[in-house]
Amino acid sequence: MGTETWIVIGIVAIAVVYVIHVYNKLTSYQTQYENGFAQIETQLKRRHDLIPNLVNTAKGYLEHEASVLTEVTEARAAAEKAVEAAHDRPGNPETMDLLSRAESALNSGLGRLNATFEAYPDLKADANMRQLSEELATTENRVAYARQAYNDLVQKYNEYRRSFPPVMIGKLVGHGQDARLLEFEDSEAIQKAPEVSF
Amino acid sequence: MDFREQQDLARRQTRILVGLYVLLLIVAAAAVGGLVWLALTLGEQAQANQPGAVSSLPTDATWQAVAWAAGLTGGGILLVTLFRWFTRSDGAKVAQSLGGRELTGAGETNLSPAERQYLNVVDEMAIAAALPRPRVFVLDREAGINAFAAGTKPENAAVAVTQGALDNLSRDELAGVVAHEFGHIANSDIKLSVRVAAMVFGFTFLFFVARWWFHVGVGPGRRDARLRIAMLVGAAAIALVGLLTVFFGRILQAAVSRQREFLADASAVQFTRYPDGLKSAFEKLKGGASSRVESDAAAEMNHAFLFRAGGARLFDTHPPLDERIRRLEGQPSP
Repeated sequence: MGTETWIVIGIVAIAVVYVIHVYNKLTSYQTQYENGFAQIETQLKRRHDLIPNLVNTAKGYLEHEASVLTEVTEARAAAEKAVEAAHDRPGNPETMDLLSRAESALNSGLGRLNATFEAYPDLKADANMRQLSEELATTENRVAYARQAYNDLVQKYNEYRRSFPPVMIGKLVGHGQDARLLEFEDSEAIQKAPEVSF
Repeated sequence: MDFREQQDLARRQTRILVGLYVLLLIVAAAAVGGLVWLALTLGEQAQANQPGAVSSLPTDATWQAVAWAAGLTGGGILLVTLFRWFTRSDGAKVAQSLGGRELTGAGETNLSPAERQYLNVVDEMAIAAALPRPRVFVLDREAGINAFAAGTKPENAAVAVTQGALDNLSRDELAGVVAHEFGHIANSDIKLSVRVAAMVFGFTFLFFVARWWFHVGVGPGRRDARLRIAMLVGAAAIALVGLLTVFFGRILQAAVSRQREFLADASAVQFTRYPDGLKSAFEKLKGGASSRVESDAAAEMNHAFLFRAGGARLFDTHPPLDERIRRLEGQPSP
């Protein structure tokens, strides 16, 4: 074989090694954000598990406001389904948007429920209720922090995927699409009590 | 902010400090050796001046004694340092030595709401900082507002807050405080500060040497007055060397610690993305709340606390509150 052939073989070999390198890196980043999502999932499930408790405790006090309780229960069921769907395909735009919508609906339902509680000082003083609201608050924060971590990892994946030359190679090896960030609509604003500034 | 970078910085600073420590160790050992030589030579002269003296110490023995003295001093300092380093490495042990009571969270049904909340906040921060959850302690007997992190790596880390912090801080404030402690863990600060503290502590061995010399100097025995005086002067000199090393060591320790405090404040904001919690805790303290920690073991662990646990200004391990608040607000220092 002539020198040219060897040069061509050499170039092809380098190209193959480089493609493998890019593929491995993309896959590793993907695994990282998928793990990040697993963490969100754990916390979302924890949150969903708390809601029946909350509804049962509140039921005894809020006889005339069953509608908001039903709304929360329904939103919870929808959110549970959305988590299941997202579990199989984290980062996928459809499932992420579905989850985002479902959790936002649950958030706003919980926000309304919280606002209703304001009118029932007995309920707010209930020991069981106080523990539940602490549990809800911590779960809310855990979801937020897990979401931060997940979004950071997704951003890292997307940035690398879009850089050159990975952007050329990604399409060939099944990394042709950006992973989707998980954003909840004004979840902070709903959960936070109005702040008094002085 | 990049934690890797900060960990590297901590490592570099540690290397410089270790170099400095070795240098001081050699100087101290040489100083004690020199003093022994001086004392022996004076003793020899005194004996030689006495009428009818025959035996005097051969030079070989003199040098051997000098080598022993220097070696024992250096080795003693090293041993004390290592001892301190090992006993202070495990975060949980440090927390217990300060009177901490552990909260495990699992199966504890008798937790107060504040303790439950504290455990929850720690779990939240572990997620935010992507670190394993450290062991969690409360200092029951402390009414001041304070907190600390201990342990040399995330796996043996512990965080503790005082009962005063649980009683007086809101959830957001407590979260800021706990996030600050996680900042120390993430930035490898505790390792650095424990190492510095152990090194400084090692030199307190010199006081022990000085005391021994003093006792030998004033003790019974057939000795020349000049030798006795030489021994006492020697004891004073060793004590002085010890005093100076510990003195400058403490200042150095404080300077390192002050920088790392700012860094941990910045990390806390990065974790919580909410600077107001920590800021409001600072303001509460500025408003007159006490950060004093009564435990006897606290003075030496001062650098590990969130706020000053007590002690003199020159050795202050913490930057002024105003400066910390200003930086949290993102304003440049004047």
